[in-house]
Amino acid sequence: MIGWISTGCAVLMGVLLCLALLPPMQRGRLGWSLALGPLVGVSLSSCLLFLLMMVADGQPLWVLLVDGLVSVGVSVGVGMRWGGRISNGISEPLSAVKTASSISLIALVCLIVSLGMIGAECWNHHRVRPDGWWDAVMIWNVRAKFFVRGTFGLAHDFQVDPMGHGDYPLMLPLSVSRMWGIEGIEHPSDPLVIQGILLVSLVMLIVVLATERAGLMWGATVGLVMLSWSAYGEQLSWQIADIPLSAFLLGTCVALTKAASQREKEAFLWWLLMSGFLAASSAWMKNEGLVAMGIAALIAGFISWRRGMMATGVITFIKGAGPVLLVLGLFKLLYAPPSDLLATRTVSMTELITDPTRHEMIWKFIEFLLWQKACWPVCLLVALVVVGVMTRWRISVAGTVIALVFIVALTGSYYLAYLTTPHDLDWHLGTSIHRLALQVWPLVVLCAVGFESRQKTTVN
Amino acid sequence: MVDEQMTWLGKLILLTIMSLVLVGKWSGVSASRDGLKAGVDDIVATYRNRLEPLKTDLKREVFRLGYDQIEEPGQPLPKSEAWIISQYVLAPIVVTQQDLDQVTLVDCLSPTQVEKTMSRTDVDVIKNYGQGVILVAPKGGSR
Repeated sequence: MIGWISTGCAVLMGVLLCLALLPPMQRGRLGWSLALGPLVGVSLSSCLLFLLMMVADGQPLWVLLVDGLVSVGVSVGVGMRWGGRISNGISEPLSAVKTASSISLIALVCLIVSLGMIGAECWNHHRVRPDGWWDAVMIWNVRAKFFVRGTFGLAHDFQVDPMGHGDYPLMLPLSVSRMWGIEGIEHPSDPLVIQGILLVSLVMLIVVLATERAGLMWGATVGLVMLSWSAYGEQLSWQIADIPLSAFLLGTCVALTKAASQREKEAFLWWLLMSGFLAASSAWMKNEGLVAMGIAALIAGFISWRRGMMATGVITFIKGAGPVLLVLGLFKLLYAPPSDLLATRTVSMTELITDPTRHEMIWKFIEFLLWQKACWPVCLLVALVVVGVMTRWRISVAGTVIALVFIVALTGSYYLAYLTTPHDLDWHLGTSIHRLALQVWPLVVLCAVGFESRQKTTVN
Repeated sequence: MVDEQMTWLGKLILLTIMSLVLVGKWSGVSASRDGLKAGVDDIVATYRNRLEPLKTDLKREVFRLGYDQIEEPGQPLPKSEAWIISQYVLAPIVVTQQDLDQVTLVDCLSPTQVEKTMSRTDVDVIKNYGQGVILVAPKGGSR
C-alpha cells in the first residue's frame, strides 16, 4: 500500500502543479489538472528518480526517500504558494455537475461504469498472467527489478541482453521500481496501478476537451466511444508501455490544439510549454515517442509562426521539452545500446523497402486489424460524428488537422519500421501491430470529432 | 448548450452508443472470466500426466521471478495440483544457476519462440515438456 501512496504523491504533485500554473483565464482548471497532472507527475518524478539513481549508483533506498520527500515537498510548497488559485479551480466544476442535464449524467455514469468494467476485465487477465505480457516481464518490469536490487548504472544491464531492448526509455520501469523499492516486495499487481492512472488520464483528456467545447454529455460520450476499443482491459493487464504512451501522445496533441485556439498570449505559451513537456515525455516513455516529439516540434513552430511569435513560441516549447530531453539524452548516451532495429541489420534497406511481399504482408495484417479490432469502434465513432453533424457542428482546422498530422506521421513511421525490420516480419507484425493501433486510436477519435468545432448558434 | 439543441433522434443515437459500449465492455469482462476458468481447466487436464516429471525435474531450479517460491526436493507441494500447474504453465518460468546474474526466462505461452525469448544469456534447452514448459540452463554453465 505504501508503494501506491508514493505513486499517489507523484500524481498529486503533478495535479497541484497544473492547478497552480494553469492560466487563471483557463476554464475547467480542475478537469485539466486531473487529466494532465498524472502525466506531469509520473514523468517528472521518473526524471528525478533517474538523476538520483545516476548519482547514487546501487543505493536505491535513500534515492526513494529523497524522491518521496521532493514529491511531498513540491506539493506542500505549491499548495502554500498558490492555495487561492487551487481552491478557485476546485469549486468551478462542482457547479457544472449540479446544472448538468439528466442525459449528461447518464453518459457520465456509463463512462465510469465502463472504466470499472475495464478494470474488472484487466483483473481477470491479471489472474491468468500475473506478471503481464512477455514485454512486461523481459523489458519493462525486469528493468525495474534491476533498479530495486541496486544494479542500476551498470551498462551491463542494458547491453548484455540482445532481446531485452536495452535502448527502451525508462519512465515506466522507474515508476514501477519506486513502488517495489518502497514496499520491499516486487508485487506483480503494482505496475497495474501506474497503467490504471495513465488510462484514466487518457480518458479524462478527451472527456475534458470535449466537455469544454460542447458540454458534459458530448464529452462523456466521446470518452465512451474511445473506450469501445475492445483491447483496453486486456492490454492494461499486459503491463506494457502502449496505453501510457497513447496518453502522452494524446496529451501532446490536445495541448497543441489548445495552444492553437488561444487568444491570450499567456495561455498560448502555457499550452505550448505543456505540449513540449508531454511530447518529450512520450519519447521518455517509449522510442516511438521520438517521432511524436519531432512532429510536435514542427507543429509548435508552425503555430508560433502563424501568430507572429516564432522565436518566443519555439523557445517556450523547448523550455517544456528540455528537462525531459536532457534526462532522455543522458540515458541514451551513457547507458542505452543501439536500437535492435538498427544494430542487427543484415539485408540492405533498399532491398527491404522494395520487396513487394513485405508490403503485401503488412497490408494483410492491417486488413485483419481493421476488420477484427477496429470495425466496431469505428462504426460507433461514425455514429457519433453523425450526431455532431445533426447538431450543426462545423469543423475548424486546428484540432482535426493536428491530430491528422500525428496519425499520418506515426502510422507512416510504423509502416517504415515494419518494412525495414531485421526481425521476422510475420512475428514482428503479429506481436506489435495491435498495440500500435491502440496508440493511434485516441488520436483518431480526436481527429474525427473535430474538437475545434464551434456551433453555428451557441446557447449558454 | 448542445444538449438542449439536440433532437430526440440525436439523443436516441447517443443513448444507443452508450448502451452498445456498455454491452461490449460487459462481454469483455464475461469473456475474460470464462477464459480464466477454461484456461486453468484445460491446462490441468493437459498436464495431469506430466505433473510427476515436473515435480522431479523442475524441483529447486524453478521459481517464478519475483516470488522466490523454491520447491524443496522431496517436500510436498504447498498448494493444490491445479494451482501448481497453473502457476508453472501460465506464468513465465525462470530457471537459474546459482545466482540472479544467470537468470534465464522462458515465455511458456510461446514455446515455438524459444530462441526469441531467451533472456539475458544464451541458454541450452535441458528438457522440453511440450506445451510451453521448457527447462533451460545458461549455455556452457556448470549444470
